[in-house]
Amino acid sequence: MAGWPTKLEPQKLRIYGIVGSLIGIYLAVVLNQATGSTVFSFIAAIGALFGVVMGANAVRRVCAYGIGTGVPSIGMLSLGMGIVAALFGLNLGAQFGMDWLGPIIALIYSLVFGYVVGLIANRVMGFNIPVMEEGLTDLSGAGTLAIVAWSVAISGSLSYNTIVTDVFNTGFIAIIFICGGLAILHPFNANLGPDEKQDRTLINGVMVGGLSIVATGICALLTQDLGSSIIQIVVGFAIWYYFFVWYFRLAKRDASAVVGTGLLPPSAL
Amino acid sequence: MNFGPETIVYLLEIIVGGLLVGIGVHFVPVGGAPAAMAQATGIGTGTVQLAAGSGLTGLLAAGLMMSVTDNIWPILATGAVGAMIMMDATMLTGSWIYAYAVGAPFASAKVNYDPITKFSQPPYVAPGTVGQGIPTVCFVSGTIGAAMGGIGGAMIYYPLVLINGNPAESAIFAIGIFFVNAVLASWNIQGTIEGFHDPKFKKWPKAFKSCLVASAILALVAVLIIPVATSGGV
Amino acid sequence: MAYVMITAYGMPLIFAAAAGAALAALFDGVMATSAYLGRSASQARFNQWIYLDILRYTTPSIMAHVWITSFCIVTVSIIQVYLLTPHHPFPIPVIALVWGLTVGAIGSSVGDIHYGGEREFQWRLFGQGLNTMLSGQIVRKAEAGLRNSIDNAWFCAKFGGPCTGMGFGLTVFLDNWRTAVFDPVTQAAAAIAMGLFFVITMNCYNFYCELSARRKYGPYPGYKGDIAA
Repeated sequence: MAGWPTKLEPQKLRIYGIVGSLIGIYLAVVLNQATGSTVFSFIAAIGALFGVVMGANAVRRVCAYGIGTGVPSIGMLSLGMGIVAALFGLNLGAQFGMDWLGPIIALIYSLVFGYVVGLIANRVMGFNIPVMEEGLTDLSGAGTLAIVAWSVAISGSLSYNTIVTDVFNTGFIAIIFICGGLAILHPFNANLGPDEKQDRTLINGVMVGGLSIVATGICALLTQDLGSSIIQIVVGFAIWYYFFVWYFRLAKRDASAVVGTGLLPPSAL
Repeated sequence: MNFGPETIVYLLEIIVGGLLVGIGVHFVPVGGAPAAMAQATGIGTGTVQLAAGSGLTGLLAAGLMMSVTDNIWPILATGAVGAMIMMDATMLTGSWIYAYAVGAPFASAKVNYDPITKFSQPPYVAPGTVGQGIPTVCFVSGTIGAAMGGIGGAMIYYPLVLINGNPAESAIFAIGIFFVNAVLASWNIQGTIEGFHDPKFKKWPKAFKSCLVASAILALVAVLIIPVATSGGV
Repeated sequence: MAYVMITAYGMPLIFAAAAGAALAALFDGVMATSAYLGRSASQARFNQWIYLDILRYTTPSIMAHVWITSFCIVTVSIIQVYLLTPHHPFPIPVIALVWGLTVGAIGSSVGDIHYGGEREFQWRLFGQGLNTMLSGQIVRKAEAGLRNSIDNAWFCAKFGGPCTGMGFGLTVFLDNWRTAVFDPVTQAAAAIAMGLFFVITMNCYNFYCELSARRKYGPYPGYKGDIAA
């Protein structure tokens, strides 16, 4: 299948992640404002996928060193940092009267905070994992971008009050929290093993991200009109299906054998 | 942004809450996968999941209490009791299975005599294992840990609601801060711990310092978030 | 999803809970499938094959169990928000998130025990823990043919599942019963005292379990140390 390079450098993924998510967020908001409707929120949802891929790669690099607590806790950490950063950025942006500054403030704060947590882990707790600071910076940024992008997808605009009413008061932030956390931690957890390959892991991340877009689309049924939510649900389903087939093909490529049914492999019996 | 003397109190409350969560994680007896197979003492799950489950149940109970009263003491007490009930119910159901279904006497391999009941431990530890089940000292330690987690969660939630008056938003914010502290503390534990009698427990000052720094930054961010009446721009 | 159905379309509560649970079941089916494919593919160097028939008949039962779990959690959240008198201020998805995390923690700590201790390692003697040397002796041959992952987990699912339910049910019931019986505004102290009473009772019950296990199974016969039992 053409189109996926064999090895993606973390720096490139970081740039793709940050730039892709930000473009998604701003494009959606600008188009929504220009047309006066909420039809283009799905672009923000797709932008979140870039952040998710960045986060999944960071999980791969950090957990490969063996931190002893398991992969789900890293995903929850990333989302926990992301929630605080997202709320802070959006609120500060609204306080200064410039809503569009919100995601940038959130991103800068989250990258700094992730780096500080990485420093704590390495210096105070004595982990001495070389990629810890970089990985946690990536993770924190990924969590924040995913939350902001999916909140925009549900609420349709960047205004703090709208997001609070549409996403926080309704409790949909909990859905974003879990779906985002799963999208970041499930790829590595599901592909754990000595033969784990980067492209299979990241494609798994995009697939779970597609599922999350279906979820945010259903949430948007409440906050936006029927048309825009149906678009989000259909787009999410299409992304999920395409990447699930691709993932299955990669699993067949990587496994030692895929059989319909049968006994244990001859070497084991 | 209105900074008054209450802001310092709120800052301290969030920081102390985060510290309690971090230290409380060290009291919970977690054995990981070996404990689930009766190969190690403690509960057979991960540190973060157990701490999150109990602390967030405490947060839930505290949230309910906060909707009817503003006095801080019942809220903290309810948070603690809610978390303790969840942890105790989990450990008790596990104990039933260990004692009657799997059939293994409770023993800890880290001490010779249980500090609370003064039972002897080594004769009951099967060879090739590092203890089984949940002896009384682990149970009590787990209860204390859950109480600290519950109080910590409630302590983070209380000033947040007073600052921005929105229980739903403060709840999610509190869950975020809770997770950051719990994961940092669980990294300090590095997988398994048996409670306050475990030699690993002496590592808690490191978690104290880490959670202090992290909670301080998070608290600073939390008090800067205030309700915004209108917003201009995009 | 249940919340959306209730507020946007005014659906009756039970129907909304059922629809929301169906969505959760579909999600989890995808997660389970991708996890099985991924981990087996990542163990290729140990000659681990991917068996598609396992996918075919374990995934529907996984999805069915997830449906039941989600339905019950959503129902608990709905009861807490809409039906109890000091009604809970958190929105339904947040409460469902917390109970979901709790069920996960309880299920892992309670339901897992019977998996290893009873069915998977049958060389273990009853009355002692599992020796590390026996860890690799997983029973692979069944009464007729080979065991697969459903066979090993059969007793655990039949027994560990209801035990998880008991643990979770105890938690939810004891937690909410206190505030339903004692009005939190006027009798908050009584509710808290009741909770402390439950905690102390459970501590004593665990002590009784420990005593009874020690009496019944006795010290390990091969023990050569000098500490008296």
